[in-house]
Amino acid sequence: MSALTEITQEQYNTAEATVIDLLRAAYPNLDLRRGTVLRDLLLRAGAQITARDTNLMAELKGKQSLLTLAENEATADADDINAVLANFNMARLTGTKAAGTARLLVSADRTYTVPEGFKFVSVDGLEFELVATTVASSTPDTSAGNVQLYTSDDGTYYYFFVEVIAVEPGAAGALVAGSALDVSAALYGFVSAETYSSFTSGTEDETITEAIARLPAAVSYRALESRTSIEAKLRDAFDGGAFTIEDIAVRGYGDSAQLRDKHNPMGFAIGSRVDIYAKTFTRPNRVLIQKTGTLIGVNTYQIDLAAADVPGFYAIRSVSDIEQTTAPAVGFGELPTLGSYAFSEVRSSSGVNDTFHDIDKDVTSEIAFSVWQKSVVVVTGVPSANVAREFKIELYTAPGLVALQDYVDSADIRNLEADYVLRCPLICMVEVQAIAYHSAAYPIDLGQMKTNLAALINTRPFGYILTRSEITNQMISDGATRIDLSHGTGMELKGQVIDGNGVRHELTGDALDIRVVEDTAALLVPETVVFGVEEDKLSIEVIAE
Amino acid sequence: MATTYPKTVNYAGRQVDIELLQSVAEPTELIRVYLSLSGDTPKLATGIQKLVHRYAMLLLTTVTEVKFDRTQGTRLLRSVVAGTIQNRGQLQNTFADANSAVLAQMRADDGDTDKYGTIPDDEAIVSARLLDYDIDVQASSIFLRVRLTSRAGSGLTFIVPVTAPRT
Repeated sequence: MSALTEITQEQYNTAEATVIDLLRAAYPNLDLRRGTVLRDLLLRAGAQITARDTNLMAELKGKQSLLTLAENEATADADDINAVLANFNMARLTGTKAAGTARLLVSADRTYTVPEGFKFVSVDGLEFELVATTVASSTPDTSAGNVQLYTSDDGTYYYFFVEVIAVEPGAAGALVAGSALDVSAALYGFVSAETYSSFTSGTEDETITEAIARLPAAVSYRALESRTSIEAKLRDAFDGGAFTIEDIAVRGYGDSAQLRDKHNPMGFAIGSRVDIYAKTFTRPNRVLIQKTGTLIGVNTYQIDLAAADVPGFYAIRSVSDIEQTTAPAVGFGELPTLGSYAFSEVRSSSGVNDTFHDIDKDVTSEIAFSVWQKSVVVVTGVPSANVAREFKIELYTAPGLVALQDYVDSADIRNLEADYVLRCPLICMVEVQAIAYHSAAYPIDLGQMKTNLAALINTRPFGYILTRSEITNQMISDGATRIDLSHGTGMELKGQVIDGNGVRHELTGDALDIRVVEDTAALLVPETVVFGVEEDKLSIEVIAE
Repeated sequence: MATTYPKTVNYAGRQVDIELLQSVAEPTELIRVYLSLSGDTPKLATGIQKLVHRYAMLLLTTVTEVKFDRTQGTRLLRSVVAGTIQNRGQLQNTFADANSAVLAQMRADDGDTDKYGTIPDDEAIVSARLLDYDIDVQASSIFLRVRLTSRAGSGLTFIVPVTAPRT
């Protein structure tokens, strides 16, 4: 709030000149020169009030425009932003907290009770707290929600798993698997703790620019009809909740990769079938589950992933022993690799016949990435002959697919003439290798450069290509003076994407263009694909010169 | 020897101010007035009377103490209350500095006709000369006697302060 004490000399001078003009226009016989009483009684007070009112008007004017607020976003009041957004039936989205599973190593076989809110601290000082009180023992009462206390393979220590969530919202809490954690209070028997999987990324508060980008959907007619109105309807229902819709792609009548509306002998499109790809993540979202595998051959196990285990997952990242902390640098699609067994999978449908949805359950690509997708995973090279064995599986998926599908299926919501199916976006996982040169006088903040590059790639909407020029431009913005672009030794750009039939496609070159590998029958078109990268897949060398 | 000036209450074409130096009914060689705005019936002042009170107000205003007008005033009172004036010589020097500042400020505004309008000859200061001065240590006071000369010189008409302008 602008106050008299915040008036500057320049603002006062301007106001004083205005007040003198006004007073003299109305009362030309008043003397307002220095040394007069009228100057002190009338002019000075009037000029200060005028200067303050001018500031208030400027302040008010600034608060009435999102563009103006964005110019001073760091100091903008959240209430002021929401006041403008309220005119569009919107509110600014608040950030979400990173979360994941941590493994606690303890020294003895006993019952451990860790209370809700118990805090862990990363090496960077980020705080995480226990989601719920956890009781662990070697003979847990699972009906009471207690968890298993495991013995290490060599029997030298014990461990159990706890679910933790960042204390503060933000992307910084997205720790990679194997990151050390410390406890902030005494815990009997505590030896060490680490992140068991890479934590899901939290998000920062929505920027004003991002809110502006949501405006078209916010003011749109809300109905499951057009692309914009579908997005508006879903955002209206889910933004600000457990997950945030970053982008929506809709494939409907006449669109490529819309397979379901041609279920007739002539094979022509009949419309009313809509596939909705919901990007409900920024950084590729990983989930971690533990499943029991059954021995089906020598060193070979089969794991059945039910539809409800990880609904609509995009791809399996790794399969490993539960004690194994998968290396963060595990190469996507380069199995077998460090920390993961080799595996193959076959996907099929589950329960789709019990719905009204028009999906050919025998066509893999029609069921792909939907909540009715299930998978049989065959893991090989497991050094064990046990009939059953626990495995840890990391997968990429979009959060909230079940909630979204339930919503569009709701009798109160859905268009009675239409059939909507939610799908996880196809994620083209990107790898970048580059050498950046910089002036010796101006060192590059490599961590910040990687963060910015990851943001550039992970925030792209559906339907775009990714070029070396964009990567280069971002690196230059982050302090590089030049980038080696020579083929062979310079910047390399790679992408891998799995289509609806489970076929892996590789992209390289100056641009990652999905059109090069487009396969409409396998749902692989630019409009269904988003780009994703994890920072450890950005191999950047910086050289001072 | 007292000088007699013609008097009038004609305020036509005059810019007025509220009378600060109360109360001057007629011009005389020496008159004791009070620096005050109090009273039930404040009067208007213009002409040489306004010139004198503008001079007095600026002389007695301490520079840097008026917000947004920090160059207004002089260092006279600050020097007095700070005890830096120990003798007549120092008083004379301090006054000379203050007087110079006041004249500069008044002339600047008098010359800014676009902003404040044209000033009549009897309100435009030409000079301020220190006629007599003294320090009374026992009474903790200083005495200054200043002759102000307007551009009208001795040919001015004294405009009597009134409670309402008359033409």
